[in-house]
Amino acid sequence: MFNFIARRILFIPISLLIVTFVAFVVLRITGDPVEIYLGIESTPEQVAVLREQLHLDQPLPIQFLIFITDVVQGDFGTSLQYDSPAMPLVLQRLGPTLQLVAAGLCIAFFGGVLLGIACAVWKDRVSDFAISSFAIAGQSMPSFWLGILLIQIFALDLKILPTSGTGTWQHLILPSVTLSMFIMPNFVLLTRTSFIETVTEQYVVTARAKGLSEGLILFKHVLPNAINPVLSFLGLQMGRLIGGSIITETIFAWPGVGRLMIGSIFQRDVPIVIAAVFVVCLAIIISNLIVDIFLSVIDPRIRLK
Amino acid sequence: MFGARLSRAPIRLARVVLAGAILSAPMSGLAAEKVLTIGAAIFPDSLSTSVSSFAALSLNLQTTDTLVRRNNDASLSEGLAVKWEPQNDTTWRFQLREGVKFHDGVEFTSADVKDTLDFILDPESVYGSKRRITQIDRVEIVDKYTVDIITKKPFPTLIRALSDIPMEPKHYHEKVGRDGMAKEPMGTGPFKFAKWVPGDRLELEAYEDYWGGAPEVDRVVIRQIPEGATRVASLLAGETQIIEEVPVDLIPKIEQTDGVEIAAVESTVGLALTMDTRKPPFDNPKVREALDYAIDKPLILEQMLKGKGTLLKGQLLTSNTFGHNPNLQPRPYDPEKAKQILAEAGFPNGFETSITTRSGKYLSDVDISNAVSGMLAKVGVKASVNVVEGGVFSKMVKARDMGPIHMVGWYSLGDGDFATVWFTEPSGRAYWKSDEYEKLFVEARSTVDEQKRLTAYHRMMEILNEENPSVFMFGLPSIYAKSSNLEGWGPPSDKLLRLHTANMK
Repeated sequence: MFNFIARRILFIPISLLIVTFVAFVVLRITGDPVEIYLGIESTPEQVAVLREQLHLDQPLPIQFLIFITDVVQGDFGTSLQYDSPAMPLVLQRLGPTLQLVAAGLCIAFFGGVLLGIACAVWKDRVSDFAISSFAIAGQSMPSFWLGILLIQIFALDLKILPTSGTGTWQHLILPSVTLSMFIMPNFVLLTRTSFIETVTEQYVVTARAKGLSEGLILFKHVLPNAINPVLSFLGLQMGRLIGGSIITETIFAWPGVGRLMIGSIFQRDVPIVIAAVFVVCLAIIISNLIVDIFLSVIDPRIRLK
Repeated sequence: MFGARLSRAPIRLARVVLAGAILSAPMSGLAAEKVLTIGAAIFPDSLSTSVSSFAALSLNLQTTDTLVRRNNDASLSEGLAVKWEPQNDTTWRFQLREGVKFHDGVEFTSADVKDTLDFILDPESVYGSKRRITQIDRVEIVDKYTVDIITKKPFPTLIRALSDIPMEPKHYHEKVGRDGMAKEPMGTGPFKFAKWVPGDRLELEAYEDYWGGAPEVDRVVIRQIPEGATRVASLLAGETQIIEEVPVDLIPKIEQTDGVEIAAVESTVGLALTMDTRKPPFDNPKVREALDYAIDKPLILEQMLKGKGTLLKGQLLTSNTFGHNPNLQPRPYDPEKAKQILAEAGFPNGFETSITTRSGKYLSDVDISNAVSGMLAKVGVKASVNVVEGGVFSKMVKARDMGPIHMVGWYSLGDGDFATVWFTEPSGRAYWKSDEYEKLFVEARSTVDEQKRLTAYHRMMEILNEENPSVFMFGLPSIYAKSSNLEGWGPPSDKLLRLHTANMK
């Protein structure tokens, strides 16, 4: 297991390098940050000075080399729009995003697994049909629409939750529910299928033959075996959730890194975008690693090699 | 497949989860303090005055003042300077307000003016508004309350440019540096900095010793709410008292709701459809005139801008701008006449063309382009709408190829100079060229005689009206909404919040 973790950690810099390179090239070839920052009122001299400062007069591979050399030393460069170092700007926005994603993931996972179990237990009954339909409907609802619908119901009609912003735990409810709806249906359907398959296994029949209570069978024997594919899926969802959080952050005025990233992409503010992509990518890799380790702990059949 | 006993297990579990999730009572407001909360559309990610975008300046000007104050209607009045006069063609003398104190109690003097402007003019420094004042040669302190600004050439727009430049304390600059000033801004403004959460909120406290009198409210919270529908919801829920940039489709909703109202004003942005006059068919002035007749501007204004904003009077400048020519009128909507002129110009069956626009840069920009396209189709001109992203747009600007027609808004901030420059050759943005226009533009820029300048701009507006390098559409509105019990605040034409006298009944 130690070898496995060591090897995975060794691969992190390579993944980050590839991601950084792709982001860098895409940003550079689709727009000129100097033109956008200085605007149409700029003089050619101003443009030339700034281009030289940012090494934009160099060929693209050289630009990337200069950039990556600084990054290795922990310097992601200075944001052109804000005239301040990029990484601190990103890090101060990372906390709210992680909070939102964690809350969304918890709701999606626990809610999804519970509903999925309910479907499996009442397979082919009305509640199964209702929950499955709800899951499919939820999956097809765009989050900006759902978010505004929730604001209308809970903030304007019922007046029990704030519309947007941060401050109290109530502020977290609507955005995290909106975000969770993005992936909860997958958890429901996956758990349902996995449970229905597992209950036909021999050891469940044996357990029942021993006279164990149905509740004990469900939580002691079925759950640990059926939950595996759901957990692997969870690891894969971090990226999707962070992507989805951009829309949720915008609707609910949540001060996360997604919004910072979108604004910076439009400005071709390369240092901020790369710093954000870097941090988000790192978060996804680490969370996948944690899920893998966790999987091997609850299911000893999985050997991490 | 499971027995009835097992079926109840998930229900029990669900009950536990639900019990934990039951919501507590809604949050209670602070009754004793008067807190004004604003829902802003855009936020900078730094409070540094160097950013100099309107969004940044709107926050900066809560804690700072400018020498010359610009008002909601784009007029100018006294700020930290009480008097300014040209000494000669290139020297302006400013008399400063006496007894003004920064938030830390230190007095504001001419040394602060010099320090602020010297920093901006330093070739090494990055400062957004720098290009507005680069014609300043140097700043000289005459005495504690008198400053001379010496310009390289006659510089008539200096006064207006200074209304965008916050005066910052020299002693604080020396003590904490530019980074420190961005972290904890300090100035002479009506509000003191309290807290800044990037992407979320700026919190301010009333400055009791403000030279213009203490503000009416105790605290101000400016929140960034990027989504228009959410901003409107926050106003309806009573969380905010003022919101910026009301989405056009939600205007009726606010108008129909009690306790809230729309507050709109004409901005100084003139929206125009500019044609590439270098190439056929738009090299023919007749064709350009025909397009002006073919577009039903009042209808678009009513439908796409819900009647907010104004019709440009056949010229680039909005009516609140110095240089606006009151004698000009827009061409009426007359598709028959348009067809007839097109036929005379050799296009009896029209032609194919395209309109380049960005999405969300100007109010209803894509909708307006689509409406224009539909109207042009009626006179035989088939115009496709080409929506491009900002980065692509700026590449097209650089390549000087925006397509046959492109939509653009030019702001003037109240002085013709800032907007008229875009129809001159050196701006790099004009396809059309008029020697007389160029000459007049330079004349208006090289004198501090207001009457001469006005005459020049009036003639320039006539030339634009005769030659139609663009179809001049609308003076775009700034659309705000506010709680009806908020007084002492009006919508600004330049999108800068002026909250000093705002008060809740």
